Amino acid sequence: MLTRRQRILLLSPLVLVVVPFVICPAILGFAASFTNYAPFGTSALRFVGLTNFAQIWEDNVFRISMANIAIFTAVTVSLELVIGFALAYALRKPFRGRALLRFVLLFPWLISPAASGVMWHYVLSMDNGFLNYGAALLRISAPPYLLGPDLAVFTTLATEIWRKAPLVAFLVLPGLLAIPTVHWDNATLDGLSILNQVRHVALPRLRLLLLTITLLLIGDALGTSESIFFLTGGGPGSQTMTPGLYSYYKTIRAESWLGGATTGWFIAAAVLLVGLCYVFLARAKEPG
Amino acid sequence: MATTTSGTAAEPMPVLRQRLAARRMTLGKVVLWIAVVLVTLVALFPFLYALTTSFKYQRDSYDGTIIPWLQYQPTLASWQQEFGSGAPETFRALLNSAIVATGATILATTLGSLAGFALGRFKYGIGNRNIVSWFLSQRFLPPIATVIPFVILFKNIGLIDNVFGLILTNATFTLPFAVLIMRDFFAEFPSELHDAALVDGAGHFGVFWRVALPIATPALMAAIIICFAFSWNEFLFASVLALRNAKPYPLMVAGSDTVRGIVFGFVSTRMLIAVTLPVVLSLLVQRYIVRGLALGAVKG
Repeated sequence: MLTRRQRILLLSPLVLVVVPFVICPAILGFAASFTNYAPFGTSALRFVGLTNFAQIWEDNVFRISMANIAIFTAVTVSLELVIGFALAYALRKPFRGRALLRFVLLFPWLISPAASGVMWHYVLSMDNGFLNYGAALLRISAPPYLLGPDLAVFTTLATEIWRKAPLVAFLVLPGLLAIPTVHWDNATLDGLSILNQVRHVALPRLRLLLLTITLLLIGDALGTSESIFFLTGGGPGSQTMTPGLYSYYKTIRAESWLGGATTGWFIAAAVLLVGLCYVFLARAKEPG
Repeated sequence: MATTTSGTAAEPMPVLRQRLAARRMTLGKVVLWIAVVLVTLVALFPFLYALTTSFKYQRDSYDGTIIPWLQYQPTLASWQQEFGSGAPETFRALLNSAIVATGATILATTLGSLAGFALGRFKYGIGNRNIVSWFLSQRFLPPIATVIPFVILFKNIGLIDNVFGLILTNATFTLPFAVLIMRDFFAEFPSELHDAALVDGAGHFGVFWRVALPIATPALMAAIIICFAFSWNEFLFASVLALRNAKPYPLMVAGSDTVRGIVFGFVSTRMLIAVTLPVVLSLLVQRYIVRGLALGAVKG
């Protein structure tokens, strides 16, 4: 075994970066949200208790955004997992072009969320998007406006799933391939249906991997902002507003840095809750 | 392609059943190929659309046509503007992005590998689980929650609008990915190998450097792609901390609409430029990941 000193030495470089550049800013930021601090303000710094939090909480738009993000996270993460797993399962057996396809799977995620939002916005926009043009070309009636009041929510969900489901497949595939084929053959011999094969062969062995991926997806989904900013801007109305976007608007447009930061802590609280669930679910696995 | 899928081929099949099986196999092949083409198209569609749009004149860029020459007159105007008159700004932003992403990736994966090795191999008094989940949780502090302290801190140490400031912030964002990926890999690393190397006279650091890390190449490469792409694409902190000298490329993609209304051809061009480097990098790195997969399969 390593000596105590060596073990601490292995972790110390990390601590040297994390303490000044993660922990300290986090503590200061948290503290700031209880004051009337303004970056370029001149008034004296005062402790204001929970005023900032109360202000945000009372804003109707913020409440809508919280409800939105709950649904958004639940729907996108579960569909991303299902679609991603199905894709990985389909790629389990080698065929010509598989390596290329695996590479292509990374593409949607390699584009920045901002650029993805911009792109989809133009592809789907009303008067001059690709969809309407295609429909006109095929002489079918124009599709409904995908960014309009009826469909904006679904479109937002779909583009987000487009961006991340392939990544899930990319991450799950190595795990699936590491399962010895014997197990699949045995399951086939036992006459298990595909669903049962997945349940009894794949899931037990990929539990931790899937759990980690799920956590990453959830954390990512809870903070969603740029992609939606460029896709719908949070509209129509506040239909696709998220807390991340709300805090961005607060900071950049309303120039209320505290409002933005305080909103951030609401998101952080939600994320922490999810993190606790992960710790609880993952505790079976510890190095001996 | 479609090797023996079932283990029940032991008894000879009647000819009819054989034919049926063969037909089912071709059908399966066709279905597979349709699926492959569909997935590829869906994954690549916005890129293809951007590609065709980047060759359009402004007047054509809103009409949804896709086939050059046949449907619209192609032009190199957007590309020429980006790499001609706009070249200094373009290259500066690309260089900034490259420096930031490379620096952050090196920092994050170095620290991540060391910490991942420590957390995957050895037990700590406070519990490895706690340390790891703590790393994870700090990844999910929404950046906006800590942006004020960063501005104050960076103002004081002169890192505002400085690539080193962005390297640091991006490294802290991506560290958890690196730690997590490396820890999961090192936790599976066979302890016999570790012990054998120790018996051969290597120190624990020698084991890490000469035995564990080379085996961990696929995991490391995966961590590198993720950290690099994430830092390369980071938008929020850059939009607050680096507006002029250290401005990275994603700000230019998003800012393509400031000059004279929204120039979609231009947005498309910039999007394609932005995605080029991560794509090339993952293409280079892909083979290492695949090689690692074979290793994992043997082990299982």
